[in-house]
Amino acid sequence: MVDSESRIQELLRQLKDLPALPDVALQVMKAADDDRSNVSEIARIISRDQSLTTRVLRLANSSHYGAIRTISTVSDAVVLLGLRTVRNLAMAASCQELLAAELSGYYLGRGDLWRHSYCAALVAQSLSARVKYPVAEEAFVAGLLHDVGKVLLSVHLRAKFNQVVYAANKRRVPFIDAEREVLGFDHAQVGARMLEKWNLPVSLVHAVRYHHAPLSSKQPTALACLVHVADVVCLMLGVGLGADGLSYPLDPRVLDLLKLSDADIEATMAEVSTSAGADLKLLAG
Amino acid sequence: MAVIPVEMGETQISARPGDRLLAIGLGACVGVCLFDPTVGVAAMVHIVLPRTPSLPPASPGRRPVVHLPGKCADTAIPNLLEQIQKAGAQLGRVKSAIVGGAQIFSPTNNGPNGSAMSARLEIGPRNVEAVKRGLAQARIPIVAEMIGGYCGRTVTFHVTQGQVCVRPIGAEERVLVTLSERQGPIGESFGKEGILRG
Repeated sequence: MVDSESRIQELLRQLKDLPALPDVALQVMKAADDDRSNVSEIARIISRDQSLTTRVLRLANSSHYGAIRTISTVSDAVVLLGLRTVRNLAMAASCQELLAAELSGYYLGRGDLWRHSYCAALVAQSLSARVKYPVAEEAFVAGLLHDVGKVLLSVHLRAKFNQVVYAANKRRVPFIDAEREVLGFDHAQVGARMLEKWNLPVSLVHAVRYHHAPLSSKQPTALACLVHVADVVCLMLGVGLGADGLSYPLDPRVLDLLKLSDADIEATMAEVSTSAGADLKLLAG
Repeated sequence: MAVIPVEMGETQISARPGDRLLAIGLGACVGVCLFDPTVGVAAMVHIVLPRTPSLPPASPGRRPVVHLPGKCADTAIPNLLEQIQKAGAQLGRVKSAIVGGAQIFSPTNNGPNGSAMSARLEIGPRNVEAVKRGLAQARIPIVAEMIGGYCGRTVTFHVTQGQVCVRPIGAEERVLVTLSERQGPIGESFGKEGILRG
């Protein structure tokens, strides 16, 4: 019996065109992690890329951030929104192209996964403030990248989608279990391996790997728990839904661990949906 | 002829033949379609939550959060009824169709061994319940519904004839109902276990 990890290794080995994490995303992450770097360093990285600058400014002006005046430069954005927010926007904007691809295996149209990912990033960040998780930026990036495995898996799923759906319906198991049953691996495992290949921090790799079942890890983390809940919130809001729909479980023990009440989740949904409608039109990938 | 998006929390109304009201990818949200066949007025609201939660005040330097009346069922249904009447409809003639209210997969509902995970956050079913309660109070008949289950749905509401078309994501679009014609109730709903019930 070949285990999941071996199958994923084989999948990655066969792929000549493993999607790359844009260099600029790595530069922004490194600069933000480096205590010596300053505002101008981040602004310089962003400003070198005109299309990235445009996307960052578009995000900065979205109603989610509620800036009281129009933000027209990256420096402006730093002043009004803060360096951490601008760093997150730069991460999101630099991953937009990667995440905006049409993924026919999941029946996700162009831009759907990007909208889901960006929404999950915002929700994870918002939840981390509620639960006082100390590294909100990490929650944002983990939310942003949690489903990146779908980008790779879509091609494989397309041929076997009916089998996966059949398996999920027949045994009434979550879609991710059916993926594993039919394909030998699931999008969370594949996504985690992609992050490893990109040399992203272990905490992010772990959160992506366990975002559907954070407590199945031997060492559960608050980050994976936050992403788990953020994903569910975005699915309920219907942001970037594919044919797998809402077929993923919410582990209520995760809510208890994070000390999140149902009222907290509903308030988060209200908060995000207030801006999401207009923003998601604006952010169409 | 225009395609009018109905985003989360929005209420849209049209009496122009050829217009289409469009709610993309309803998850736990519920799309409520109202139609007065006599004057040809169509209205749709995209409801997110069953009742209005309390929100924190705006942070300094930020615009305050705008509360859309269509976001939560407790304010969305009264607002929808008010809006459609302003557009010339009479409530005694109005018929409705509802779509959405899907729920997150729950092992509890799928067999005896799922007890480790209890049902939480059943927002889809609670949305449906709140919508039905609001429409019943106003004596608006629900003549068609496609609710529950685990799938996302896109709804297109054609102002001409009040035709409601639903496309479950990953499946073909189909006509749920034509509100200008329909008299009795039709539709389908899914039980907690996600199985078609009727």
